[in-house]
Amino acid sequence: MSYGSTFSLEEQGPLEKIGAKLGTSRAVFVSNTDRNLDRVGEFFLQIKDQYKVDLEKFTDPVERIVAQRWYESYDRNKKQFELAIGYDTIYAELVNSLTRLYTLNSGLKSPNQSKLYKWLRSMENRYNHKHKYRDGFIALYRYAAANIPMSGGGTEFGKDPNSVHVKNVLAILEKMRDKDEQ
Amino acid sequence: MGVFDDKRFEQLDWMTQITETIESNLNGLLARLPDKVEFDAASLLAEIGRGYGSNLYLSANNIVRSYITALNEARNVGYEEQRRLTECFQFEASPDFELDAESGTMKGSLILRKIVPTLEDEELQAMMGQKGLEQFDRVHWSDSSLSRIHEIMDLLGGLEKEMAGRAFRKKNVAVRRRLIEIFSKNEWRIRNMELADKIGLWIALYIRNGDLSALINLTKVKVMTHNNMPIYSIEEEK
Repeated sequence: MSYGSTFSLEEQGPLEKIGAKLGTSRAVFVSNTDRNLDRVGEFFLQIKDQYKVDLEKFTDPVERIVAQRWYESYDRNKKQFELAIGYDTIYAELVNSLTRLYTLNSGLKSPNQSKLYKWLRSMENRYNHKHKYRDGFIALYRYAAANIPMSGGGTEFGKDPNSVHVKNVLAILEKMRDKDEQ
Repeated sequence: MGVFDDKRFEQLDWMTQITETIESNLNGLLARLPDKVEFDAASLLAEIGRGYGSNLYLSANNIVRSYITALNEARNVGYEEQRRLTECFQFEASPDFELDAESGTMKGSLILRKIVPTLEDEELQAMMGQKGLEQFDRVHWSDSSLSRIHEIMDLLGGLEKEMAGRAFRKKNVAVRRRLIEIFSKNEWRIRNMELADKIGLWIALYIRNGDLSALINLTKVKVMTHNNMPIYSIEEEK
């Protein structure tokens, strides 16, 4: 069941493609009676039928993160709600998760002095600029989330340097850096 | 006719003279604003700003401001006065109110109603002199003459300690504080809002430019405070 209009894809980003599966509320408003009680100077509106994301539908870890970050914004010119998901922020969080995975499992005394760490930090905000690695990071996160246990309520990778999956992820990250810096 | 006569006071009815009711154009303006504003879908949709979910709202301030502008009074209404006028209005929605932005239709009704027809003296007293203070705040004191600043401080009274030294910023703060005190405690018994607003303006004009007519007007007001009468007007020097 979909509500209102969905996101019209102009970007070809992979996270936007996930976002396109989500809907928005219909711009039908009623009085927000709780907030308006005895209020002077402002009249708050409430969406009559708020769109709700069914998180149970999203088993893929990346899709689930995008769905959890669902947000909509009312466009007064178009008179409808539009998706307002922060794809850049989500991407930065995914790369940052992999960065933390590296710092926990690199075996180095000062992993944040390494070339790989610095490269990873520089890639966090490159969702649109270095998009040729975008799919790689997202796929790598998917692989890591599926195979490496997470702590922190399922949001942070743990320390397990002997895990073959951890070693795979670190090796791939190193290769990506190497290719980018050639 | 004496130089210190209060022509406006003499024109007032005996009841106003006795009760010393504050005169203000603000109540006149409030009376000219509509008693209620009824909205249709199109006008509501034009008022809703950009926002997220439950934070979407209509602002009475914008609506009231548009009426004030239509009356060509926007220039005369300061920030605090605008805020107070807005508080005289309240939204009322019918239980079945519903606004469909996509189809541009509305069910039920939404009204902005004037719930305060007149501002009471207590409220006007709290706003007294504010617009003048805004003018006062625009003066660069460090470019001004210390002697003119001291003349003003002497006229206001109660600032003997602050007159010592040359720190412009301290004197600025002291004069501002004293002005607020004069109005909040009704020390000078100024009962006309427009006259009260001119006090800060005259101070600013004299300190900044050495405007003698501003000083004369201030002095007249101060002299009239010794009459033990409320002050509604003075013979202004231009």
